[in-house]
Amino acid sequence: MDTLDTVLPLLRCPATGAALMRQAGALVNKEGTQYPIIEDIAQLLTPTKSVKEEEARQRMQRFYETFTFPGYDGIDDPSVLSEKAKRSGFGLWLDQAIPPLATVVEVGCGTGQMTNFLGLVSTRTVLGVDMSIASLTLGNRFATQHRLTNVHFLQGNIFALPIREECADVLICSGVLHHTPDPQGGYRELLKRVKPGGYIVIGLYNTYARIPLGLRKMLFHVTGKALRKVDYHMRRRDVDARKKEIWFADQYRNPHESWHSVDEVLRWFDETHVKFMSGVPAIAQDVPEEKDGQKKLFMPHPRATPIGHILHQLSWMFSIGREGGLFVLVGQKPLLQEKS
Amino acid sequence: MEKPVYILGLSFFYHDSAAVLMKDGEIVFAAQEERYTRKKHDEDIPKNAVEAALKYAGITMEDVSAVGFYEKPLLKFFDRILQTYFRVWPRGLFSYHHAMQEWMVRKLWIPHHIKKELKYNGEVFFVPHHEAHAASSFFCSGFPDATIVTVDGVGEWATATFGKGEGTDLKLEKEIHFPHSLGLLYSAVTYYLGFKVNSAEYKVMGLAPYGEPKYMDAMRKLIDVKEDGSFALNMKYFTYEYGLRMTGKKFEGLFGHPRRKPEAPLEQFHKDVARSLQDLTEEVMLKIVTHAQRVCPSQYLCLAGGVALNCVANGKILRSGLFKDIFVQPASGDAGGALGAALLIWHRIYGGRRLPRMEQVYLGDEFSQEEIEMFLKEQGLPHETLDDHALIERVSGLLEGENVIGWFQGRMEYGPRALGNRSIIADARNKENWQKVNLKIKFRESFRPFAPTVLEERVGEYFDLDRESPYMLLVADVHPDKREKIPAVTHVDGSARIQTINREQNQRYYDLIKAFAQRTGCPVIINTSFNVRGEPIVRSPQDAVNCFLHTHMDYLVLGNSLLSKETMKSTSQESQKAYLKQFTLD
Repeated sequence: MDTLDTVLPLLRCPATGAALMRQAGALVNKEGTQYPIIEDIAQLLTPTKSVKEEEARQRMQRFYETFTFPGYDGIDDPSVLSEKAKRSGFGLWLDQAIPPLATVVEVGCGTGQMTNFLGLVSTRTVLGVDMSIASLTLGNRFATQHRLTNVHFLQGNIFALPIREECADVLICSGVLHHTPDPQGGYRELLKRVKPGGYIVIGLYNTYARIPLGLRKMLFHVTGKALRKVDYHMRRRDVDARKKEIWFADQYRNPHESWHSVDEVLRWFDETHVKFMSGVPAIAQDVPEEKDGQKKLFMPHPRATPIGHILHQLSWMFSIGREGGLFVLVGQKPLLQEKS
Repeated sequence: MEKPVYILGLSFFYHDSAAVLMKDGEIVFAAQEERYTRKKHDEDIPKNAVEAALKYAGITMEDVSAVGFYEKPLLKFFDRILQTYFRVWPRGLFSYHHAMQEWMVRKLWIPHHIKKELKYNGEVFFVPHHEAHAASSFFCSGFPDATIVTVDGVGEWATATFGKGEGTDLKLEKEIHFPHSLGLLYSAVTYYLGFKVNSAEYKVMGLAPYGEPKYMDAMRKLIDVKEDGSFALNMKYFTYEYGLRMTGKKFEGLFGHPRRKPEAPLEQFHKDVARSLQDLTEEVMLKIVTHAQRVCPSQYLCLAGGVALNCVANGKILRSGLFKDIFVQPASGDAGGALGAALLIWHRIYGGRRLPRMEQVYLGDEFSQEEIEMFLKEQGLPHETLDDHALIERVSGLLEGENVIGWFQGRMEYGPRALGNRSIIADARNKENWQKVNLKIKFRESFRPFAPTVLEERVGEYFDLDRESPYMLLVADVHPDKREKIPAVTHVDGSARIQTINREQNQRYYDLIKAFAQRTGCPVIINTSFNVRGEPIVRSPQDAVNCFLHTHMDYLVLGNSLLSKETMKSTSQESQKAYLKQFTLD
């Protein structure tokens, strides 16, 4: 892929951190280590350093090579993708917040629907990183078909990212860290990729919102397949059986997941001098610039007290809980790195 | 000095809410609410449009002398809802329950809403639906007298009327009632063909030339047309009286095919049905206007209402020679209703004088060059700003170089069409441009043709048309020897939906096409509305930039500023590289 050259300055060798060069069908580092480019996707995946963690990662990779989630059924042109992405609100707000000339990195992009959607603005540079080749292939197919030459998919590992430090204006990692053995360590790795003054968008399973799901998970563990209809999505008639299976596997059979609270992530932010910007759902009240249905993700929002956060999160059980209980916090990296 | 009379015309709570502000009989400002809220066919109280109108005129709500509300058929025919409800009971239980609830909660309280939401304490006049449409056409036509025909309304509950306008008054003679509606027949077929009712009727019109009128017999079973143009639908084929769907099993049986699923492939059958419907519509329209002229004679014709936007039929009426001239209100539908409401109040309540012929519809928001540049600076968007002459030279050159350009200038158009101030433009000589604009920019079905803008003085050279058509409301044939020259705007049947332009209407747009003609010899370009599928036409520089960035448009012109997609991309990459160079890797 010729256009990979345009983003080569953003990449690095995942093992040594050195620059990468283009050589026929591969990327190589100074020592001559080769990373093949197969079907447009540079394969820059290297193992996680600790053996135990690498085992967990491999389990997870096998899982997502089997379950490519979500698929592109019926999404056969950019306007359909755009409508779908905007429907959730979050996609629309993110698209509105990200400037047109930004470099955007999405880590754990899966099938790349968000990556491709954000890449519909052709002046942005958008990189999607994931471990699952099966998922990346789906995303890349869409990008190639619709000539999104500014979108690039790479295979990589969060704990050994093939992305240079301080090159992303916006880094997105949603629904990923809670499947890793060390979410906070992963967060720190991701933050390194963000430019000073850039934004980090983190989406995680919420401790409170996922309580009902946790209970259902225990129930299914005991009852097997019988009572699956207890889950709202498994009852839906407008979704086909295959999609239901994927949903079920992703939510209930995932090899590894952890749950996180708002205050925990705010603590990660505080420890790294990252300024809290906004939360989806909101963790306190909105700012006056936000008229009905709008959300300014990159504008500073007030925080509530820890008690206030708990109350908000309890209410999430009945809102986002049904959709898997994912919450998103947006932070801004300080302009001048403060010495810690 | 006497205080000027400000009249505010409003329409809302059905679809396409809009506001029109008149000052002493002159239209000062007009805009649809959807452009502000970015919700297509927004039907809410047009708070934003009213606010923009007042701001433009430099007045407050207290300066407004009267508010005219364009009365919706739903209001007027409340008793009819109940009648129909009981007639078809219990089949319509669900849909009527919904309609009734809507009615009870919102529609009975119009004056209350106007007072509360718009902070207005003066008088509110209710203007009957069809009179508003008739007024919007006749009072803007400049004709001393005219036969008036309103054919409504894509999906609305009212139907057709005709009457006569003379001087500052008009009178409607005859009305054809629900459920017998040509507009609804059009909508039912639109639904049957798998398009979106109330908004995609024009797609059916665009599809028609690809088909043959093979289903005229079936069409005639659906509707019984008398010589006087009155007609009755055969209700056994329709389900919209009681259902949420428009056509049922019997309708499908008549044509021998099930309804097309939205986005399913279009087959010859669908094109033939569209063509048959179009031919029937034209036949009925011609009968109505012929009869109307007999009863209310005049050498001029004024058309209004949704079906009047059916420009193919308009072209036929013009060529029939029945009338010396015709005027079609470009802002049809509810936008026209708000305009008509204001005009009727001006003439009937204030006894005002007539307006000259409405020559242009650039009646909405405007952004100064300073505002545009401030915005571009805030957003950090690379651009160059050129003087008028250099801009025209540059952009006409870019058009010749096969670029697709977003063209944003001056005041926003009122009504459904972009006429050179919120337009996407391209070279009409290149057939690939048709596909390129359709698929890469508008993200829409590729069968839909584009409309040309042509220099008014050269229209006869390319088209079988001997007069102006400033609102893109007339269809005429492209001369056979010219069809090859402008393939991107020539429909399969050799016709085109024409916009003529002269320098008085829009100086900068005219100059641009003139400069393009000097370069290429061709005075015709593609003009399509500045939006993507499913979104309202852009209003502000922000909307324009959003649309530009989200599509494969090559250039964007905002006033005197020029933005290039390629320059933006390379600027971005260069600055990224320069930035990263600070920290070299080993």
